[in-house]
Amino acid sequence: MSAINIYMTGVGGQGIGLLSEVISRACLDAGYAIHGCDTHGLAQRGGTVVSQLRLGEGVFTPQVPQGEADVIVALERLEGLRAARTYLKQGGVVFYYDSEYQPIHVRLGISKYPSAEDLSKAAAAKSGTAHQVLADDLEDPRMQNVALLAKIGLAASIPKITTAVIRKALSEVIPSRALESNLALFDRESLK
Amino acid sequence: MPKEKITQFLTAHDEVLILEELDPVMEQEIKTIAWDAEVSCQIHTRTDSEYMIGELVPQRTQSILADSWPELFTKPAPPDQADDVAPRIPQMCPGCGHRSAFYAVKKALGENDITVADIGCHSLGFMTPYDMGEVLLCMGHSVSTGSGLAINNDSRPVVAFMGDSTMIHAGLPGIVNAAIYDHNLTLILMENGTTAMTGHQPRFGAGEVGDKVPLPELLRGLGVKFIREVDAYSQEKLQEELRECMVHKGFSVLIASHACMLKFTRELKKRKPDYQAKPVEVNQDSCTKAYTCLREFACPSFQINEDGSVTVNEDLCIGDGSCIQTCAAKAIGRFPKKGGDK
Repeated sequence: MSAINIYMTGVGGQGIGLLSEVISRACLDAGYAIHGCDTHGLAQRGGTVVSQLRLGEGVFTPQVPQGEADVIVALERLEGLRAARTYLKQGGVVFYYDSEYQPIHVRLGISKYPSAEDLSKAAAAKSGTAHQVLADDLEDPRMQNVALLAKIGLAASIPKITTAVIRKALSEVIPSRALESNLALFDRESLK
Repeated sequence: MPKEKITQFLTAHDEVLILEELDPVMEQEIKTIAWDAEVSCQIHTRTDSEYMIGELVPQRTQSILADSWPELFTKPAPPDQADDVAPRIPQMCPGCGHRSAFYAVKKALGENDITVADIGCHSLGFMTPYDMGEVLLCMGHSVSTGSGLAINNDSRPVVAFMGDSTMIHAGLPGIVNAAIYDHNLTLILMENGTTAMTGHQPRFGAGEVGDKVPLPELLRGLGVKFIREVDAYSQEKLQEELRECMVHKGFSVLIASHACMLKFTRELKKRKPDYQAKPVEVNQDSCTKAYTCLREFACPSFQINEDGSVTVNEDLCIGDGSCIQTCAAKAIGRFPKKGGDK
């Protein structure tokens, strides 16, 4: 069986680390062999943050080859587009939280910020689909990743990674003081 | 290195390709072992290929293998580089004192002035739109390099930048040298009280570890005679002080200090879990769309909308207000809400 490749991306500070930890743990719980790696360094300075995860046997590098991602999880629209263009494989799935963090080139008027349609088109060009996630009234923008996790469970794009498996991993990873509100959001979004 | 194992492997093959990330450390060791063992195997390395520079990601590795043994490996299709998708370069955080300082420094400098950067968060000043630090080498070099550039140079003033933790770590010799010879340059010491870029390790002398060492006293002790201090948020004062430093013939130091706001807000939230930042806003009635906040001050909190209006991303703004002074139309601030609530 060939590996299942998951490519997670976002902007520094958005909580890609937690998102990645939850998905990794869920995959371990579901019995997968996992290999993964994160980018470090300039994450806090508004740069792109990437976390890569590969499931299954016979994996020799934790890095997802370009054009080979089965699932892309993005916390921001522009990074979702970048990942879809460079990493999505034919027929792959993109989940993106529809937040907008404009990089300097957009603010200077040199580059254009993409629309949701641009992202759908990029996915469709590879016969894939893009799922937009947007939760109303989040009390904290750092909870966007939880809303995204709920959708990933619902869509069941990763075999064996059900809502219940993600919920269990989430409750193990989130610090106790923030657990209740995050699980409530997860449950609410899981029902939609 | 397991000498025997390597020798066996080399002996068993006619050609061996060594792919090593970063510097050729193991490569040289292996070649030494091969030489000593008088192995006749041909050793190919990354050092002598066109792939010498760049990370060994799967695509590149596959390309190298395909180039080496085309009959065994297929070259991967060139990936979509998505060059038309907006890049996202790292930038200084919202509220960063360095941004305020660079914005002011840029106004005080002439177009021909030489700016020398050092290693740290302030290296990001090299990025657009600040373009500060046209020379950048290694940690602690800026004053020494600046001294070199100032010697026999009467036409182009030299300004060096350095952070406070870098200064303690590696910048002192250059400062002593510049002070003793009184080289004609200005060091802008960008003090944020910590080692911000690598995760807020304590800066010696800031008081977290050991005693506090006031930087002006330290500098005076090193022989620096012309020292000015300013809060990096006080942009006009910073420009005045910088101009005075640059008029001064000889070595001068301008300490532009402001706490690392990433560290500051984190600690504040730990102390007061209910703390909520009060973001600034743009008054749409008085905004003249000069875009100074967006494109020159360039705090990431400002964003441009399709209709050309500028608004503040409240998830990013920490409410520091260092941007308020940059708006000639006085359209940035914390305005009373219409309808009377708060």
